Amino acid sequence: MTAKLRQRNNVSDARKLVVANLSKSFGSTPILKDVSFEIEEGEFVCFLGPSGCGKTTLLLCLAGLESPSAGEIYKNGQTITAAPPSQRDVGIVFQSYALFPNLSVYDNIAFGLVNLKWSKDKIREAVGGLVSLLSLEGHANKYPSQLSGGQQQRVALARALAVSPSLLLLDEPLSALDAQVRARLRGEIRDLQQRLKITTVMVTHDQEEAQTLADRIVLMNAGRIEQIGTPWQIYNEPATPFVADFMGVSNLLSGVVRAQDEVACDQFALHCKTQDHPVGTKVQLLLRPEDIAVVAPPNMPEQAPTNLLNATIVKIEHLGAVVRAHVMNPSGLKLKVDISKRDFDPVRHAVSQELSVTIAPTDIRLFTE
Amino acid sequence: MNTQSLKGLSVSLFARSKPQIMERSDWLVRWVCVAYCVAALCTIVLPVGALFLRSLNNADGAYVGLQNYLTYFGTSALFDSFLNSLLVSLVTATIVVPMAFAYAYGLLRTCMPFKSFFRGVALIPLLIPGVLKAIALVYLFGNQGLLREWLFGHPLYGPIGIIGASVIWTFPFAVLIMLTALQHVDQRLYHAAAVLKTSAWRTFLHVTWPSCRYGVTTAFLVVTVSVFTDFGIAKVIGGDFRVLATDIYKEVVGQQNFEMGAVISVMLLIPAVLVFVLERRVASKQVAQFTGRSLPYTPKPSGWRDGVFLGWCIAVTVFIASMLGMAQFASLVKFWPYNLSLTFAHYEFEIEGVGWMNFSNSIWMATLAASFGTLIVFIGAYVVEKARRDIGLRKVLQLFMLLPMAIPGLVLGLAYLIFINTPGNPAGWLYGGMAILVISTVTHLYSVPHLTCLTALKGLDREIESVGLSLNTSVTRMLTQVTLPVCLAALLDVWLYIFLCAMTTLSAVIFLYSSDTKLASIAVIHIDETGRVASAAAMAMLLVYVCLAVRLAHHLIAQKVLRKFQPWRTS
Repeated sequence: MTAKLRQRNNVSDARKLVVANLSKSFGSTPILKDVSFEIEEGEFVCFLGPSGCGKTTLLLCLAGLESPSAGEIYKNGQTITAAPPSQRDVGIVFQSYALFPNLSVYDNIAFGLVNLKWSKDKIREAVGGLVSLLSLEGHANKYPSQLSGGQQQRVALARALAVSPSLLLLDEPLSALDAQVRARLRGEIRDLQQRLKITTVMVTHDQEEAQTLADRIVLMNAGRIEQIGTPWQIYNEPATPFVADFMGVSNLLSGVVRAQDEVACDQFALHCKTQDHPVGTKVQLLLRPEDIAVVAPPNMPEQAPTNLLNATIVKIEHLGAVVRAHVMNPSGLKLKVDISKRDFDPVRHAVSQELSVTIAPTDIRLFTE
Repeated sequence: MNTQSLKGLSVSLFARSKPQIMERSDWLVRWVCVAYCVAALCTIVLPVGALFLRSLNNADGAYVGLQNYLTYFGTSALFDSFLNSLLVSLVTATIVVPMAFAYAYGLLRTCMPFKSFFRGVALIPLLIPGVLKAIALVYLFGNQGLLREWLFGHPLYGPIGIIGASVIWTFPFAVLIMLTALQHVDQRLYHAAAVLKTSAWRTFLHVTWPSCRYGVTTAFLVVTVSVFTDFGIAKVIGGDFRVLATDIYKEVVGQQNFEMGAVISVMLLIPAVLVFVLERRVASKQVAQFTGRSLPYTPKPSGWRDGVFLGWCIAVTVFIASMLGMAQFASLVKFWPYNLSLTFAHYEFEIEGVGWMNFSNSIWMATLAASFGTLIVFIGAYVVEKARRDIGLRKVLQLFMLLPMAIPGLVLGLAYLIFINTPGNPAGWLYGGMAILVISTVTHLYSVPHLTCLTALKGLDREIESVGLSLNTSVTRMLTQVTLPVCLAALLDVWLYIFLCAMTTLSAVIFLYSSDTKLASIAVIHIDETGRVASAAAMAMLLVYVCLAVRLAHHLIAQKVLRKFQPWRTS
């Protein structure tokens, strides 16, 4: 154990945030179970997961607002596990904004700077800069209750950024906003983070938000980390069926490896890369709807492709850029298939029409069940 | 058992939990919590404990076990007063709750005019000492009363009088509780019921009633226990009808029998505590009924319904006004009912031990209690609400702060009397001074202001404190810059509440005053005992006018202060 700690301490040259074997329980209920990861300086990391997975508790531990039950947090090689929030140099933004209702926008943003005993002129200059940075011009003398949700959240951001923290913590900052404002503020937060190069951790349950914002995603489930990776890795190389399912619509099938590169699912066999899964193991197969292609009669290839399935359309969903067809093959297997808008034909792609679908063996991912 | 699970076992056995992260403010909060616990021990637990012990002693101070209780149950006259108390309190609650329900329903669920006026009227009885309500009833329905025929020859003195005066006295409490209960309903439930073609009766049964039945239960319990433990009204208008509260007074003041007084106090305390526990359980169930997303109810006009409720509210108003008018008139009449010429003679209080000094004592005491009380209550509520650590300590403290609700004023007063006169008590010097009156009053009234402050503090996001911490803000800056300004309105309300209650309080101080600190509310009782009811009415009316004046001043000051210090609210 001590050897391990010393080893951790040796990374002090790197300006990193290191979380090592962190656990937290409330009474006998475990919230975080042995969580470890590292965050590089200037990185934007999202804690992503369903509600109750412990992501907010983890954020509060980073802020010093919760005390972990076990494990350590290191910043620049030094432990900060027991440091109170005031000594951690963090800025924090909550879903509820948590603005001081009795103070004007100006005084809210200046609040932390007054604590640092800055001179009035310096404060005015700094607040002015933040007001224009977050496009809050003309609102400085208003009270929080006079602003829209999006504006209030900008003020909360400005207040957190004013003291130039080395770590910015965002606890579902966009969840209380409506869709359009959310999308715009999302872009602004990313721009701001890139410009200020500030290490940022954001908690969210929205996988799309995490994918668009994060350099890396920490995907959590039931107090554990399921996978850490870039948005591309998390989506395309999910480590577990949970990750695959959480990151988007997917078809998950059960099967048994029958031979090298062949898996038996119920009535039919699918060709895929079985890699090191030995023959006879039960596996789960992930087929992304967008990887499945429709090969209906007119554009039927001359040579029948591998993994060809005949199916009937049972439902059509229009999602804007794509049309999602729910299809069922004669043996009762149900699949979701995405058809791009360009390929969509309202006559042939209608309910109870028959079609053939195919998927390349390399596009199927296998998980041991 | 394999090595793996052994290792796991040893880890879970020997892994010590990490110490919690403590900010300087967390330490401060912890010590304040401890201080409040000690204070609660000295002002509640020890005195009530002393009272219990006294009930187990004989007059010589020797321990006699349950002997006094056996004597109590053996004396039928004493036990009868227990049943009498129960009877009047249950009858009062049964009358008041429907009255208040109809009144509150009219205010919230109809489109009758002058709603804010009627809302104010319902609260007027709060400004009137209980004793004055009894006196007014004497003038209206007593042996020489204006409307004595209305009682068909039944005597006013006794249960009828106690119930009548108690109904008026408890009406505002019941209305306030019903207002809260009826406010908390989602209009969309009514929309849903209407769309499903639900009859008015079924809608009432399945939408209105479920949303307010906890309120009705609470009102019933609060009224019952208030009447059960009240002293002043029964003293003035009870006649030969004995109730527990007057029994205690007679035993202690009349016969100096502290032991029997303590026994009866325990008989008063036990039902009060039971009701308190019941009421807390009901209150905890009420919580999640109405969320921030609910749509508040807005009534639609309906001629006959609005008319009926307007009529009811007018009737209540007329009754309250005639009662006040009668009391005022009686205090100015030379010799009711024979010589109706007007005079100020009754305001001269030429009675031994009574005078204008009592009146200034009352104002002085109420001001001290309100000012210190507000400060103490706010700090207490602040640490209970904001303590991030020490969850156990917080819970204990919260219980202590609600406990005064369960202890009748008379019991608390007697407990103080016994406790402070215990030989060797270092606080013995307090006896007979103003401080003990202030302490007992603040303790007695503690719970309601505490809940008001808690509600105000909960209005601030919990995360606000976290933001303050992450921005390295000191406790004092957080308090003076954010928390206090936001809670200003609640603090002014708390001050007013304590002041008004302290002006009219009787039960918590009746055993604790000295000739130098006698309060006006006590003087009213003493004047009444001499038979000069007009003078008693005069003294009580003075209290009413002070309360009215302070209420108005509070309104004006609050408006000004809030406009100056809470500009964000006006938007």
